[in-house]
Amino acid sequence: MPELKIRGRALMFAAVTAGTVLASTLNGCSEEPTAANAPIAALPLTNLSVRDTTIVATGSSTYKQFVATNGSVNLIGRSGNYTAMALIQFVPGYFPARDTAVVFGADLTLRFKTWFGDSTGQLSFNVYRVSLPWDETTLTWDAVQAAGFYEQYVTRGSYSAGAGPDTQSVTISLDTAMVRQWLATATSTTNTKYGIVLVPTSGCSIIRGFNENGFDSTAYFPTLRIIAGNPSGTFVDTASYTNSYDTWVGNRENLTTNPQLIYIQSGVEYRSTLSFDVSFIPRGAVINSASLLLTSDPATTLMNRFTTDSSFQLATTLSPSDRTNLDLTSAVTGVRRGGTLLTYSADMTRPVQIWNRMPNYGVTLMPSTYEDRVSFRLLTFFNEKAPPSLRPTLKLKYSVVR
Amino acid sequence: MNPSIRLRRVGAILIIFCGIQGATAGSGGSTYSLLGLGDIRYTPGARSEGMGYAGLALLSSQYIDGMSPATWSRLDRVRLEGSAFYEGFNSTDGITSRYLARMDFHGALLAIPASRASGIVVVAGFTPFSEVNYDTYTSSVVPSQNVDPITGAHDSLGYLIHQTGTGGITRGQLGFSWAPSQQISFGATFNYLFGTINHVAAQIAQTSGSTGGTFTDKTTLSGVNFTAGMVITGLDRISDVLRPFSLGFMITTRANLHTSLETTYEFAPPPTGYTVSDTSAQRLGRVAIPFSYGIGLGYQPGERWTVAADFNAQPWAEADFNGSSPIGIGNSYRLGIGAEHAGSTELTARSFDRFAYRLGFTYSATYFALNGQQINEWGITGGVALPLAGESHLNVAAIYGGRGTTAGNLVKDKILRLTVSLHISDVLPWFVQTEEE
Repeated sequence: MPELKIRGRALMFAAVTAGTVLASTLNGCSEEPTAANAPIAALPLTNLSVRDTTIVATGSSTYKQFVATNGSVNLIGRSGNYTAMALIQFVPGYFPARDTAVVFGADLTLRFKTWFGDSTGQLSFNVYRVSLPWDETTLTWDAVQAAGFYEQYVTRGSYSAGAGPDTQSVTISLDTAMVRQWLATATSTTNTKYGIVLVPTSGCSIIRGFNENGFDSTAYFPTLRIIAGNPSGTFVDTASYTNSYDTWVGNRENLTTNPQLIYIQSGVEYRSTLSFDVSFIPRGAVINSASLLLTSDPATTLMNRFTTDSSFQLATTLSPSDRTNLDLTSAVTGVRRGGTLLTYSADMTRPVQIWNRMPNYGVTLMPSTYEDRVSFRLLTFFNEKAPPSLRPTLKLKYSVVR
Repeated sequence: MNPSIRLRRVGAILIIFCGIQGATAGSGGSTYSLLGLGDIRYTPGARSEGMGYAGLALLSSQYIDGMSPATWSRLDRVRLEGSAFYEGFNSTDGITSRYLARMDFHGALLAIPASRASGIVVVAGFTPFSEVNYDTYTSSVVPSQNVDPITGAHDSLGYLIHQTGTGGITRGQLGFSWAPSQQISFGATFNYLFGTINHVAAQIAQTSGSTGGTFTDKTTLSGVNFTAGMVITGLDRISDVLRPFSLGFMITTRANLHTSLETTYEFAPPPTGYTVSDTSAQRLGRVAIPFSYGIGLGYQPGERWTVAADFNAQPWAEADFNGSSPIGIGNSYRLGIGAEHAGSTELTARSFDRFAYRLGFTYSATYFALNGQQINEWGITGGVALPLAGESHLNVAAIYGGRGTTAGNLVKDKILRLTVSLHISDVLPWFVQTEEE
């Protein structure tokens, strides 16, 4: 009987081992299915048909959508219908608490690095105290214009001079009473530490850009110098502060005057929507490619020295009413392709894919983020009301199941 | 070592082995499985598979035939059988060929004798009914696929379509046998058919700047049918010459499967984007699987020799897929003949004498019918049963064969199938009836 037991175990072991080895070997023989080794057969497999078509835009509009700027350059001034205001808040935490200190002098130094508009124009602006808290990452033009945002009737400083070189530094004297309050421990509605806003005067005819905190050398940051001491004047100290929050806000009035154009205005900003009717594409079709072609209007397009490229951003509009509801995660860049009238193109594969399954609210064309933050660049394109050769077109290639 | 512990170890090893194989395999099978409901599985068990899929007329005290409930009446103890299935296809269109294989679970059946005197045995379990498993490519450069029949225009985009199919239908069955006498047995099962079949077509654009997409048709199916069978062994009443013969019959009713088809579209993203997906509404439908029947003949010339022959047929031309006849489907039948040399039950027998050996041949007209051609299949089968301990044994069945043709732009497959089943009996002592019972 022990022999039988041993024999049984041996059989069992042999069977399992043989089975495992055999199956592993056979499985290992399996090849990777590829297009090269696939047998071609007249079997009822899925078949596709690729279709090509080019369609013209069916609708467009331009609207103003104020955005936060907070770029590497702050703009201040006025040129034509463009207005820029700059805001600076020196971080209160860096000021010493000196309730009894007397401020003998205070000034603000800015280093210009660029300009926009008439280079022979006059830059003039006033300084006002900001009365409400603000955030450089969210502040927009309309918030600054709201009543009570800054003390419009109490000038805390002013500047007026002709446009100088880009590396020019200018110093603006500030109201010592206001700066003294920045050193005080207590605050109130009239004694705030929310900084200052630079507002161009009516005589201003140029927009200038100055370095902001956080970009380039620290020596170019906006700098606040305070000369203060004790009331008797026996002890005087001079201190400089560069830690600040700063941004700018801009506006442009009366932009959309030509009904045959759509506008992409940086800085303010103006955005445009563009619609194409792709309802003829069966739901479930694969959008292989969709290329938008736009023709710019050189007579109204306004390029400037703040920007080195000429692109714009395109995103699918996801709501008929909420203009901020955009498919920004998949925004693409439209780029200049050349041509006499300058043709721009953008990949619209994803928007058309989305329209194939969801309501079609068109696409939104807007300035690319960089331009938005540093310039007033304006791109204009002919819309569907323009002569046929200038209208926006969408070149489509899509596949449907046959 | 206690036999039950030993068998549990064997079982565990097999389960792990099958799991690993199943996970690493899955590269695809025959492209024909895209037709109809896929490759229809005929799963009588490893014993029958080794005998050319014959066995409708064979009563057995040791094996559970998943296709013929009447054959269960001689089962005398609780038995559990689980199977793993390896299938490899060497497919060719006459120019290119490749070998794709995978391993999968092949079903499990549990038999519980309720009354040995009346041959009442209850059987429950799962077996595959059909399997879809293909992985192939088509391309835009095939003129017949990409020329508009009206305009004659070609595609303006170069692309491949990666076409894959997975899933299948499983049969859950619950049935019983009954033998009112030693000469005749009856059996019936209730079958619940259910499963999911996925057909995926992924367009891969070959042109720079273009993107592709993926279509996935997911169909869930469920429905019921019934199987009834009969085995007659008392032919000696007609003539003593017929004593070693037995006859078996089986019929399965038509099944109406409720289907739900949902198509998912996934569009490949532009270079910097995310995938856009879409899902169609569910489309409800109905698939009618025609009835099937089988006739078997058994012959037992000696104590250890058994010969069997079966004929099965199913009029698939009567199938109804949402009100129409499916493309590429026709009537099917299967012929099988095989023999078994049972292992010795003598304790002193030599190892190889204790094995059971099987050999068989099968020929079938599959239900695939394309371009006016029936896709026929043939196979040489063999098998062996290795006793493990007590009434438990390991069955291995192998089938090598071929099907199809390269004529008419079709595909010819060389097929290798292996079934490994573990048949466990005496590790379930709580079901074993004692002499007192």
